Amino acid sequence: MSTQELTFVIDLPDRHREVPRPTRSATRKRRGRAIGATSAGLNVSRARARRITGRRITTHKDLKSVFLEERGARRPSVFVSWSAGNLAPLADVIHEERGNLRLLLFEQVTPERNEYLHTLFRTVVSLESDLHFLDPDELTEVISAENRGDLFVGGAVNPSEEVLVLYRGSFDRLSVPFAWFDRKSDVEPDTEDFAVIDHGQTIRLGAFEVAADAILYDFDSDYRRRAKKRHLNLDDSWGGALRRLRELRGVPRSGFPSISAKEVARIERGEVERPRRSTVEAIAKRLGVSPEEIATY
Amino acid sequence: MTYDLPMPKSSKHLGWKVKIRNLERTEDPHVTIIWKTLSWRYNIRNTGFMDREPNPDQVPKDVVAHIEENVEKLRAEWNKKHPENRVESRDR
Repeated sequence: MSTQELTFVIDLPDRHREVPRPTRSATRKRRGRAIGATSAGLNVSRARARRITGRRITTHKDLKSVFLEERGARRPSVFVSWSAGNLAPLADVIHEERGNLRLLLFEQVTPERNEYLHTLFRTVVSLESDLHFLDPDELTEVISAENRGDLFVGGAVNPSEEVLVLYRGSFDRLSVPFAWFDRKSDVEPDTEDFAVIDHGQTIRLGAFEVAADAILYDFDSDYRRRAKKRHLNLDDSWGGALRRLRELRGVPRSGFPSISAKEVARIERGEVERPRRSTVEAIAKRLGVSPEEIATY
Repeated sequence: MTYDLPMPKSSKHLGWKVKIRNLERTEDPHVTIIWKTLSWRYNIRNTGFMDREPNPDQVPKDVVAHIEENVEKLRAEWNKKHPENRVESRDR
């Protein structure tokens, strides 16, 4: 997580909270516990929000000034609020742009209010939506964690486009095609049974579990750069990068139509001083990256 | 299916987990030690931590000892899940 990224927990006296109404999540089966569908639930949500580590905002004046400051700073700051009504003081803020602010709400909001909130925040996530989230207690810990951007807090399965949309603890989104999960394994990924577990470190698709680290390494070049830096005995040659990428994609050395497995092995071991451009292009094409990207793995 | 190394009661109670998941950032065969929002990769081919961060000293010695006591079992589990990157492979 960037050192510039801040968390603000909004905890104002609540005079504007919407009247809770029965939520879909309260009536349907879901894996995590439902949050905030009743007054008692809202009290639980408030207690949970208060456990999140961040700067506490307790007055309307403070909320307005922090909001304006953070929007101007263009930091990817996260605002957490147990109630949408807490944000009412922002209604008279004149805003031309929404900066890079993200909002986590512990309650459901009406579609109208949701539209309005999107004019203030780049990302608005409600725990009372159809998205799947981490267990609420784990979620609180993840949002408070320094490495929250490297952890997942929830997501949604989109069968039409065949992608899994994941939310990081920083509330950045990332989409992973179903095909990415196709590997030789003792179990098949089941996209109809999705959950985020292990404090955001594992994605579970049925009995098939995926390390968050593997997803981020492949889909986020900044994460990849940091992960390589942390590695104690990294083979940082071009061949080493190719081997890591090939294994990450689950492609055997024999999986390159125009190149022999022996040749791939020689390249990975650094025995081919300068692989031919056409060879590199064929490898890159098979692994779904540009030739220049291979070295970043 | 993920392999979850059964942990001694004391470590389990504190929330320590050791896993081999179906899809890992492969590199060298390894287990992932998970504690809340942190994790450490531990190489089961050469035995040792793979990354300098988070600090390996944060992992209790009895968790590391438990992995080392069960390393053969863990190697077999890795090979089942990742047959193309077997522990005994010398072509690295």
